[in-house]
Amino acid sequence: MAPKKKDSNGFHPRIVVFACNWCSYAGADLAGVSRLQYPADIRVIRTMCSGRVNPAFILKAFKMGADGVLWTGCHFGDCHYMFGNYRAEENYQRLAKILDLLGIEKERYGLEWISAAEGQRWSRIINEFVENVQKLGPKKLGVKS
Amino acid sequence: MIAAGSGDRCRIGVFVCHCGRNIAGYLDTAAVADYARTLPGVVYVSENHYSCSEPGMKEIGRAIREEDLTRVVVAACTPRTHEPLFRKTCADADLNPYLFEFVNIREQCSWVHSKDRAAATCKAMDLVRMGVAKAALLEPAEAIQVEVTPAALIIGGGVAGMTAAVSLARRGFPVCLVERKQELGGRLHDLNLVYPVAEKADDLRDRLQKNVAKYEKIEVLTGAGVTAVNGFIGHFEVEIEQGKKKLSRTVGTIIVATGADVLVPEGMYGYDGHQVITQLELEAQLRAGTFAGESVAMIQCAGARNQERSYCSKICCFTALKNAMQLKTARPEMPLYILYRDLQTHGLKYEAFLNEAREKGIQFVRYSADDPPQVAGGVIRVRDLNLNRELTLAVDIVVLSTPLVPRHDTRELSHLLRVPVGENGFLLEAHAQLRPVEFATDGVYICGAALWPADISESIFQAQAAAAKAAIPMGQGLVSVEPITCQVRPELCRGCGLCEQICEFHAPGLTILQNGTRVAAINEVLCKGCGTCAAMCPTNAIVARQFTDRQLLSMLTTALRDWHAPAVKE
Amino acid sequence: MNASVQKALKDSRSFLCLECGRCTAVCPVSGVKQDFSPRRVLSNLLTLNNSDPLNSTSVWECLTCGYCSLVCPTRVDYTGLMRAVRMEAEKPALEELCSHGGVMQTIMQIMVSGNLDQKRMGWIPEEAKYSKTKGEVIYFTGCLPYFDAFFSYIDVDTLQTGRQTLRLLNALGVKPVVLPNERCCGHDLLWSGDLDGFRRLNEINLELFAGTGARILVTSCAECYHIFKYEVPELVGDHGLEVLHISQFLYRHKSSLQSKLRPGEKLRLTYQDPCRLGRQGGVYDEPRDVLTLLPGVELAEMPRHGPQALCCGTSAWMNCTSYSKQIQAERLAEAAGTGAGVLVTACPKCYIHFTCAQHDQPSSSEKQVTVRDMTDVIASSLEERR
Repeated sequence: MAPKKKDSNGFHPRIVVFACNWCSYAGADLAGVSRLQYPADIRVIRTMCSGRVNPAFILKAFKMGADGVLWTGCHFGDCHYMFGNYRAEENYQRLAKILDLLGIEKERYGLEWISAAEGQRWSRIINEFVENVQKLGPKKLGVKS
Repeated sequence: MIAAGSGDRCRIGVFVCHCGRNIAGYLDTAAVADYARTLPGVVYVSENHYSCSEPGMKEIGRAIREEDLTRVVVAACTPRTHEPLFRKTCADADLNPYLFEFVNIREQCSWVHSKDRAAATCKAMDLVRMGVAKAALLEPAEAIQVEVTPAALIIGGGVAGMTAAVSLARRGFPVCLVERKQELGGRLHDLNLVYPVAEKADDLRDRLQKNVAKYEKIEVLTGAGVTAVNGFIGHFEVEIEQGKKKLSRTVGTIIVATGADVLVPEGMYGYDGHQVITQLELEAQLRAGTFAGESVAMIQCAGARNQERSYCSKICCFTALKNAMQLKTARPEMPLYILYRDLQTHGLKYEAFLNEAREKGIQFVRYSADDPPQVAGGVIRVRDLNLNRELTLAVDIVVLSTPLVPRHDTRELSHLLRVPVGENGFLLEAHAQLRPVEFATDGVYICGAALWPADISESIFQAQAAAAKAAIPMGQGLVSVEPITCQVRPELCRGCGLCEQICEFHAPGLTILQNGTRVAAINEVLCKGCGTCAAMCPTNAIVARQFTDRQLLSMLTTALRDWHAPAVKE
Repeated sequence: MNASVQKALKDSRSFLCLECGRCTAVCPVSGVKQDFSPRRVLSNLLTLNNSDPLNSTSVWECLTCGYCSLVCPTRVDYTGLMRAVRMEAEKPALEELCSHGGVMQTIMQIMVSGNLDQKRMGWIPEEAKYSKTKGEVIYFTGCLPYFDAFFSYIDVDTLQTGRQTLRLLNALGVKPVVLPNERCCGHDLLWSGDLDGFRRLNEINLELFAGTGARILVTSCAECYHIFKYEVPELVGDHGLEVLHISQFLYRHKSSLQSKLRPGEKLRLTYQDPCRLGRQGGVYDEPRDVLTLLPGVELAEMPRHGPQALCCGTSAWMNCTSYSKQIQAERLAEAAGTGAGVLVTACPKCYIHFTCAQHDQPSSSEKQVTVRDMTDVIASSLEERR
């Protein structure tokens, strides 16, 4: 089967998810082991810690045409590096202000804590996030329309 | 080793794993492989039935040598379990193991999009392209060698802690065994008999205590607690408080054997500690010979397998059987009921024991979680699911089988050791199957009920396993730390000191140069490689190795530029 | 050699370089970085000495402060050369040099989107008088809301500049247009070599300006000022607006302003000439004249001021290094040396860069002065609203 680029009849959003090695990525793995289904509209980029994610990555994702970006990590208190997720939270708050100034809808971005044991939660969050972005439609920033 | 930096020639090999039907059953691996052939830098692509099998790994090794690969991308399961294996495969074929990139198309693709073959295939292609993009920018790295102090700290002097201590001491390693209480023994102090061998808990405790005392290498610190742990595998600096005394020890490994608490069933089934007691209280009375009940009913799953505590505590069914049998053996005429939801009598011995209990006349009553027994004034009203009948049982003692719960101070311990806590509040191992007695943090191990409700024999074999694991680095004397660490590019550092402020591991430090400017440098042994400093650094002076900005952005860029999505059905 | 670089060398009169080294003598970067010399960068470009000057960091190290061109005996336009060369230079080298992971550049690149619907007006005080659509004067706020959001962690309050500018304009009876969807002026894209992005941003801006019926464009940022006054007409198109920095606008209405000022306590200030306003815009006197209108204010000049002013050390959100820090520390010490309590700037970039340098575990001399935007200093002397 030759895959085709998305056609005009429907909308497959382009969603980038940053996941930390120890918790949320492991939670995503558990969702897999548990065969919990969710839409294939996400591409995960693994980092060691949610604190590794530079807010610029998320802005760049939107600039390059992402319809949504999700930033995930360990619950507070669970960070493998103790407080990396607190740093992620601080950076996210600054980022969220900028995304809001740019008029990017709140449903298109988020920061979620998902533990290694929360396959269900991963799957639910992805399902909901994708659905919300689908409702909003394409964003297509960074292009001279 | 092939020192292939990003500037060097880049010959990427991509290996697409079928994982039997696990991947190939849900997405078109041939299409993914064909697509991989079109990607820049890719010179070799093959499909493997199982990449992690002997033939699969041989094929990777062969291709590295014969196809002259300088980068390897395996699209298979998850790096969390199999990355070390494939890194080793690369190293065995003389390719620097850090020139390997893992693409997860099973846990995060085939298994979760198993009803949409086209979408899963598109996603797998994108993930492979992202992996290839990152692979092209990978840099070789050499593991950092750290000397290991051949000594262990064991936290908790119960059955698991004592067993681990003896196990290590017998291998010749000095052990510091820290126990909060004034005496070693832990839960054994509260128990009566220890099954399946019907040994008195006191005897087992004495035996273990004597065993510990036999070894000079074991330093026992009772009435003591660990207050601080710094450092890393091979070199942990531990602060201990024993009464007013403050001690410090340097150890190479740490074993956690802190056990669990038993739920006190306040407000459940009229619990009062007299007529309605717990199994633990029953055992205390049996030990002391003070138990005076004429008729007994035991209620299983008291406070367990509910909304608040979803897990099965596992040991309670057997504890109830053990105590019921004891009562029944002493007084065969005693009316004895066990009210249960499901009986877990795993293994050969325990199931036989259940049959014996039935023969002795112990009555088993199955109740429903939706309609639990009602206890009032020495009378239990319960609907028996097997008979489908309401029963009224008049007994003078009700015994509640309550679950083991995480120790009240688990959070503190988790912060102290920088180890995670799982969903149910117990400490969380690195991997349930692959690394069951280790934490994700190197050099820290776990055994016994601190991890999960465990009975005595499980605690013992976990303790021996943890000791065996801890003995590996201590025996080798050297460990390799993953070179996934951060480095400062001094030419971009403006010496703001933010990295130094935020790092919990004290890896970055500022030095003042001759011209008065400050510049940061990172101690790579202390660095855990989280990369937070790299994200926080205002001037991008910090490079998080294996997760550099360039690598992550190349993944992001290629993902968004050439995103595949299946045609939408109308 | 690429034709555009050839043309840039020609346009900037680089062929006339006498190799006298005066540029290196005054260059703030050369002052702290021994191996940096504008002359050598130029000669590398001319002779292709360096194997690939377009792929080296040297073209990004220049602060484009323009001091070299001022002292050049043959008037080589080194800054102009850098602007042109950067358009041709390899961008990956730049990506690594962008501060904060390139957040600021990315915000600008997102702003080229035609379908953007910004929510950037939240900072405007309720009592402020302004129009979102029509008026005689446009107040171009620039990146102030974005700076404020991003730099909150170093205690930077750039929105104070916006609020105070509005207060000043209102006090002078001006009800400016503040455009809810204005784009960044593109200064930093232009100076990081992204001409397309720069053009696109200002095509949108020009469209928005045209709809207002305005005659005057006021900025509170030296860079926005320079871009709209010089680069936009040169590279994008004519906007037909008179472009004024807020200091010029206040200067024009100085008698009216003076009547609204209340007596103040004695305050010793020193003034930082932003490169784009001073050396490259020729606006030296107006800010000083307006500042000295303030009752009680005494202006103390730093040894290097006016055309000799030292740059704030970082330009276009890139190449912020220990050299930047040294330049900033040097300048803060110079400001402190005047005995002034406040270092006044007329550009939010200078304000952010100096504040940041103070935030970096400063030595005592770096912290002696308070860095404030001139609008804040002036508006603080306004009579309270009745």
